[in-house]
Formats: sequence, structure tokens, C-alpha cells
Amino acid sequence: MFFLRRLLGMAIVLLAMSFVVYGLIGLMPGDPIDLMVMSNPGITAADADRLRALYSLDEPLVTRYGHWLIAALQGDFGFSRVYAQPVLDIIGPALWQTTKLVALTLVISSILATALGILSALRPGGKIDTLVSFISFAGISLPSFWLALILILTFAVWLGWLPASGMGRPGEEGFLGNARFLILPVTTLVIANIGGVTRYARSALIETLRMDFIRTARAKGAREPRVVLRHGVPNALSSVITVIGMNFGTLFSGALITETMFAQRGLGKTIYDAILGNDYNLALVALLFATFATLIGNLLADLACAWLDPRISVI
Amino acid sequence: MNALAIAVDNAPWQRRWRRFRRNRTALSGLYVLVALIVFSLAAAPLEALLGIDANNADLLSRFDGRSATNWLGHDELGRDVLIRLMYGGQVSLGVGIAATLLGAVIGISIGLAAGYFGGNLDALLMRFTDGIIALPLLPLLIVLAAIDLTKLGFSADFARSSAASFYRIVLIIALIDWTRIARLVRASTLSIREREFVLAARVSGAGTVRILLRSVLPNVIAPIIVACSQVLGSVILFEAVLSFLGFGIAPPTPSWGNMLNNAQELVATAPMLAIYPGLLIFITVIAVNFIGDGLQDAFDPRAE
Amino acid sequence: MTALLSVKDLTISFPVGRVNLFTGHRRAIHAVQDVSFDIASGETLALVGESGCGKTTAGRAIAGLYKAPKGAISFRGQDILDLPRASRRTVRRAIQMIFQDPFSSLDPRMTVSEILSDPLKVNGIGNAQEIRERVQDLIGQVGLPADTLNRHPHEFSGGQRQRIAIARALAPEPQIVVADEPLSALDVSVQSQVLNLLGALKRQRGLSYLFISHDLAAVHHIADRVAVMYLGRLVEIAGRDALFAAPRHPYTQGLLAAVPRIGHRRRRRSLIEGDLPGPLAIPSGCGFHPRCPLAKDICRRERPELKSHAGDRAHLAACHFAGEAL
Ligand SMILES: Nc1ncnc2c1ncn2[C@@H]1O[C@H](COP(=O)(O)OP(=O)(O)OP(=O)(O)O)[C@@H](O)[C@H]1O
Ligand code: SF4
Ligand SMILES: [Mg+2]
Repeated sequence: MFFLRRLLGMAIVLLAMSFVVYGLIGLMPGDPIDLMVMSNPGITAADADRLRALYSLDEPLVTRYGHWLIAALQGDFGFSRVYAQPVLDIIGPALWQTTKLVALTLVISSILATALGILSALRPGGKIDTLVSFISFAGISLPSFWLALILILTFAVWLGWLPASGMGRPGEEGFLGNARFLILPVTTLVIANIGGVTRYARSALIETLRMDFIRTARAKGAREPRVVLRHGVPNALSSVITVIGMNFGTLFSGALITETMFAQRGLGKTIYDAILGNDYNLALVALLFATFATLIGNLLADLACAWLDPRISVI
Repeated sequence: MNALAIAVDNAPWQRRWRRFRRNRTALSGLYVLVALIVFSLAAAPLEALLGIDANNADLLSRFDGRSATNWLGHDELGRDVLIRLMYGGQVSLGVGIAATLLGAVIGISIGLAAGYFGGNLDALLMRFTDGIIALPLLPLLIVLAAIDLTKLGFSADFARSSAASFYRIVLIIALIDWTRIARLVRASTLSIREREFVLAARVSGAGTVRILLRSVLPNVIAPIIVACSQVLGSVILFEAVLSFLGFGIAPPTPSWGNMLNNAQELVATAPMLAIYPGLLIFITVIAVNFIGDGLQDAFDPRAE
Repeated sequence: MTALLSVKDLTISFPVGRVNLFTGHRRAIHAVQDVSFDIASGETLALVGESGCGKTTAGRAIAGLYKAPKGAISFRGQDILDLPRASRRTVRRAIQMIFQDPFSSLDPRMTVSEILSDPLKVNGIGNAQEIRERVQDLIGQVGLPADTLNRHPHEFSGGQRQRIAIARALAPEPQIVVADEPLSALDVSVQSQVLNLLGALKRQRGLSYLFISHDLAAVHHIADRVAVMYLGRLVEIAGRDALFAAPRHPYTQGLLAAVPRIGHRRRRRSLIEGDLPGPLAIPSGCGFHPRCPLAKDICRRERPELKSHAGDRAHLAACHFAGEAL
């Protein structure tokens, strides 16, 4: 039941989003027909009008959106103006690229955040806690595009250890060749992401350590690190997953920035380039896929939480 | 008598201020923020004092180093870096504060309505809020920022002006940054609407608007202040990244974000041009976040 | 004599928990069910009963705090649940309320003067000068010095605050005041002062009270008639002396037995035993049967009607055996 409600909610969000963005695109600079006229001087004014009718641009917004929606529901998302390809052919690889980036970031930052959270929670207010809290605040407060810039400056320009941008040349596309290109983007995203998560893990842990069953474990004479590991970590982990679940949207925004900074053709950069290049259909569909992926991420995080923490029952 | 009454009435605020002051990081955050505001506001006086014009491109002095009148040297168009950083601070802080306040107005309205009327309206508004929170906001902001203002009936001159870019970015960030404030206001309103003094106002005949403004709102000020301080940091970051990506404040008006526009290409030749604005953004946001954290503790009702 | 206030079959339920996905309904707590009573001009009706029996809910409904209660409430013969917007405020003015907790019923951010002048302003009573005079008048009537006005609620003791709350209730010149346990949050030493103030105001102004309380001594002191509630329903209503001297409902008898110091004939039966059933699980038949020492089979099956049993026509009780000699 819960599951169905969530899916229904997701469908509503996607519908609303597609309608709003579809409407907004009508307000973007340039008119699709004008753009065509610009790129092909052979088109006359009469041709332009005929084209307008052909693409039913003279109909009201709702009608056009209806056509678009019906086609989209049948799996036809239309073409990209710039690439002259079906948008799905462009979005597929981009989605995969972004998934790699986000998945790596999630794994690394969950582990790091849990570890830092544990270190802090062992002695709240202590030296380590203060340091970790400072690091978390710094992470939250860093503009990630600037962080990317600084990393490029340090590791690509000054030290020359890592590539500044790109995704690897066709020849060296194997995982290792690819991985070199992911190091800086993932580092950027992890740093940008970890602050919020760590703070959450820390407070969840402190809360847990105050709880009764932990007190009991302590009273039974269990040693402190053991208590923390046995009882604290699962709890901290589940709250880390909760906060990650809530922040998938933020994570995707971060991915847009890093992909743009490191010239990686992920979903975020695809959206950005599409809007800059007036390739609005691509932008619309890519944005919907990004939203969909974000919502799925939220859902998965909730399910993972339920699985980790039997007290929450979501299904 | 009167003075005493006022002093006593201020007691909760004095207690909060005392608790805030005890938090050393929060207090230093406040000092840093005040210093940054003074720094930004000093732009015009300093410009006059040094007898330079920071908007004047002078290609002959591109990338020139420091001098007696150009303390941080010149940028890629030969403009004075320091003065532009100061003006940029006015814009970045201005956008941050304006968008936070506008978002607060939206969030307060939605939170009050949801919390006070409850029922289906509450459910609807909170679903909407949760929906917005879950979205990938940056691409959405880019879409909103890419809107062609002339298609909304504004003149082409206005659409290109940097005033337009200022208002637009304030508005679109406000459209997405209200969610946290709305939720906090709603939660506080829910608890306050059942308090007996609100019921008493209703019994005495006060209308809904009067109750909301006179009985509920003054009692949710504290959470609103905390939420605003926590939102401000992320708003400044949004402005920076949007301006950096070319969708925010339009050059030549400087903002810390758009001063980094060309920094990526120039990072090898003139690294300091990339370092200064980013560092200022970072320091501002971390100061604001420290303040927000301190306010949260200081306003914590459990400590009252 | 037509009643000043007449309540007929008042029923108030609160939806609780989630909407049932199949029926679209929510479970409901029936806080008040089919309650009927009248209050005459100048009369004080006390409403007594255990915690959670619905006294506050009934009082608040009369003060107009619930959107659409079932049943009817009329004031001077006029239905006040279904008033047109325009006249709602003028009619409603006549019914004011004093709340239980004077620590939460006064807005901490307002001065006493603001607290007292607000009701005047929203009801459009007087200009600025008149409002100032009336506020000074009011604060004097509840026995507080004039310099109270510039101060904030938190500077006062509970008793003083309750006086301020009383002054606020009097501001719109009501004819009926619903007083919801106005003494229970106060120190015993000031309870009688506030009680005497309420009595004096009633005499001076010809006020009617709906006096909600479980302090039977206070009730005996101030009430003209007493209504007893149990699990959302009225189980007995009678003139004060009749009720205290010869309660007919076993629940009322139990209540009175718990208060020996009133000095009336000491009951042999002890206190009511057992716990109050939850409001979601109201027993069948007579709601009191699980705890009633006299319960018979019929009590489980049939709900006794609230009616007069013998002699005194104004003494109503809802018990199958109320007519029998006890
Ligand atoms: N807003 C509400 N939502 C749900 N249930 C409510 C609400 N208000 C009251 N109730 C329930 O209605 C019942 C009657 O409550 P009410 O406050 O009227 O009792 P009371 O007789 O005034 O008790 P007390 O002597 O403790 O003040 C209680 O079971 C209470 O839990
Ligand atoms: S009806 Fe029966 S159960 Fe109810 S009060 Fe009378 S004797 Fe007791
Ligand atoms: Mg009550």
C-alpha cells in the first residue's frame, strides 16, 4: 500500500514537473522555427508558417503538451535539435555516467561520514568532535564549483598527476582508464556531500548512545568501542541512509556542477549544455529523467532504511 | 516602571543572546560576517579614495600585479580586482539576503496556512513542499533563469540590464528556498494554534487574519530567525553557482560567482583571480552557517 | 421562562488516526454525545465529571470554537451554530470564556492593556479614549491596580493572571461566561478569592455561568444547578441542593462519596472503582455499567434515557434504577 502510494506520488511529481517545464520552455530564448530558419537560409517565411503548423506550434500550450505527453507515454520522447538524434540515445549513456559518479560518491561518503560520525560521537564536545564538526561545516560551505577549480589547479595544473577534464579517450576506456578521470569529480562531490551527512550521523549516534538498550549493554560491562560498534553503527548507518535519501536532489545538483567542471557528459552536463544550446526537448527529457532518478533514489534509500532498521515499517 | 517592564519583557531575547555569545564559533562567525559587510560597503569610498574606476576595462594593464592603487592587481580586462571583489560582495550578500527574506515571506505564508487551517489544505501544502524538497533544484533553477524576459512582456532593454538579472535571481531562488521555513513555521503554528491564548482571541471575536498576524506570527519569530540563518548560506551558494554558470548576475556587474566565469580558462595563468572570489564565498557561507548553528542552540526551547 | 442559552443534542467527535483507505473514513472519538441543557438568565450551571469526560469540549463548543458541531445551540431562542457571517460576531460577543490555565491563556507577548483592549477593538466597541477608560474600569473590577496594565502576563502570579483572564472575558460585555476549571490551576489559598470574585461579578452584572469543575466544594458554593457528565453524556442534572442531597445516578453518588468534607450525609458506598474506559471503546448500554455497583443485565443492553424519575420534575437522571429507593 505504502509502495503504491509512493509510486503514485512520484507519477504526480513527474507529471507536474513535465508540465511546468514544458510551459517554461515556451518562454526560453529563441523560437524553434526561427532557429531552423537561422540554420537553413533556404526556408522562406511561408515555409516557416507551414512548419509552425506542422509542429502545431500555433495551438494552445495545453494541447501541445497533451500531444507531447501522449507520445512520451508511448516511449517517443522526440529528437534532440543539436545532436539530431533521439533524445533517449543521448540520455542513456549520460545517465550511466552520472550513475557511476553518484554511486561512487554515495558509497565513499557514507563510509566516511559514518566513520567521522562515530569518532565525534564517542566524545561529544571533545577535540576530535570539534575538528570533525569544523570539517563538516567547511564541506557544507564550500562552493563546489570552486572546489573543483582548486582541485584542478592543484592536481592537474601544478602537480600534473590527474587529468583536468574529460572521460578518457576511446582507446583507454577500460575501467582503470576511466577511473583516473573520475578521481577528481568524485573527490569534489564527496567533499561537498559529506558535511551534511556527517553532522546527521553524529547527532543520530549521540542520540542512540543515550538510549536504554545501550545503557544496558554498558551496564552489563561491554567495553565502550564494542558497544558503539555493535549498537551504534547500524543506527548511525540507517540515519546516514535516511539523510542521503532526502538529499538525492542536492546530490544531483552537485553532479551537474562537477560534470560541467570536469567536462564529463553526464545527465547534469547534458541538461546544462542543452539549455545553453537551445536544445529544449533534450533539456526537458533529461530533466525529467534526472527527477525520476532522484525520486527512485529517495525510494531506494527509504527501503534500505526499513531493511536496516526493523522498527520502521514502510511496506 | 515602563522601562522595567520592557527590560523584563526582553528577558528571553537577552537569555538567547547570552547563550549565543557563549558559543565561540558562532560569535566569530558574526564578527566575520559584520567584517564582510563592512568590506563590501567600503567599495565606493575606497574607489574614490584611490582615485580609480573599477569598471573601467584597461587592456594595457591586464593581469598586472599589485600597485599602490591596485592592491590586489588587475583582472583579465585590466579592472581592479579588490574593488570589484568589494562590489561583488554587495551583490552576493544582497542577493543572499533578499532571496532569503522573500523566501521567508513565501515560507511563512505557506507554513501559517498549512499549520493554522490544517486538514486537507495542510496535507496538500506539505505534499507540495516535500515534492519541491525532493527535486534536483539546480537544473530547475537553470531552467527558470534561462527564461527570456521579453517573452513575458518586459522590454528588451530591461531584460538585458543587470538590475533584471538581480531581481530575477532573487525571485527564482526565493521560489525554491522557502521549503525549510515553511515546514518550521507549520510545526510551530500547529502547536500554537491550540494554545489557550489563541483560542481566547477567537472567542473574543478576532478574525483569522488578525489571529495569524497578532497571536501566531509573533510567537513563531524565533524558529523563523533560525531557519533564515540556516537558509542564507545555501542561498549564497546558489547565487554563486548560477552566476558562475552564466545564469545569474549578468556581467559587467560583479558578483563573487560571475567573477569566476572566466577563471577556469585562466586558472593556469592567473590563479589568484580564481582563488579570491571563491575564498570570499567560502568564508561568508561558513560564517553564516556558524551563526545559524549558534542561533539554533541559543533559541532551542529546551534550553529556555 | 425561556432559557438564555439552550443546548440540544450537542455531539462533537474528533477524527483520529489515518483515513481508512477502503472506506475513506477515519475513526472518531465521540467526546460529547447528545448533551442537552438550558441555562437561564443569571443562573450558574455547573458541569462536573471525571477528567476526559468531555466537559472542556462541551464548553468550547458553546463558546464557538468548533466549526460544525452536531445538534443545536441557541441563544435567546436564536440558533447560533448557523449564523450569517455578518451577525456572527455581534451575537457571539454575548458568550465569552475563561480558560483553565492562566499561564497559557494570556499571550506572553502582549501587555495586559493590549490583552484587554483587543476584544474591544475587534468588536468595534468605543474609540481609543473609550477603550482606555473601559480597560481601566475592567482591571479595577477584577481587583487589580491600574499599573497592571503596562506589564506583561509573566510578571504576575497565577491568581492575578486568572483575574486578568476574567477581565478579558468581561470586556465584550457578555451575558454568559463559560468558565473552564478556572480554579484548578491556582494555589488553594487564592482559589476562594477568585471564586468570590466570580460570584460578585455574577451578582453585579447578572451574568450566567457555565461553570466547569471537578471541585465539588466550589460547585456547591457557586452553582444553582449541577449537570454531571460521564463518557461524553449527561448522566444527571438537577438543582444544586437536590443533587447534593439526593443524587439519583450511581455515578453521581460515587462522586459525592469521594468528597466527605462537604458535610452531607456520608455515603456507605466507597469510591467508584475501576478505570475510565477509553473514549474509543465506549461500553454498550449504559456507559457506566462496567464500573457500576448496581449494574444488571439490562444495563449492558439498553441505554437508559435521561429523564425525571420521581417527584422533582427538574431532576433528571440516566439510570434504569434511578427511580427506585436507594
Ligand atoms: N482536538 C481533539 N482531538 C482529539 N481528541 C480530543 C480533542 N479534544 C479533546 N479530545 C478528547 O475528547 C475527550 C474529552 O476531552 P475534554 O478535554 O473535553 O475532557 P474534560 O472533561 O475537559 O477533561 P479534563 O477534566 O481533563 O479537562 C478526551 O478523551 C480527549 O482526549
Ligand atoms: S443504568 Fe445500570 S449501569 Fe447504568 S448507572 Fe444505572 S444501574 Fe448503573
Ligand atoms: Mg477540561
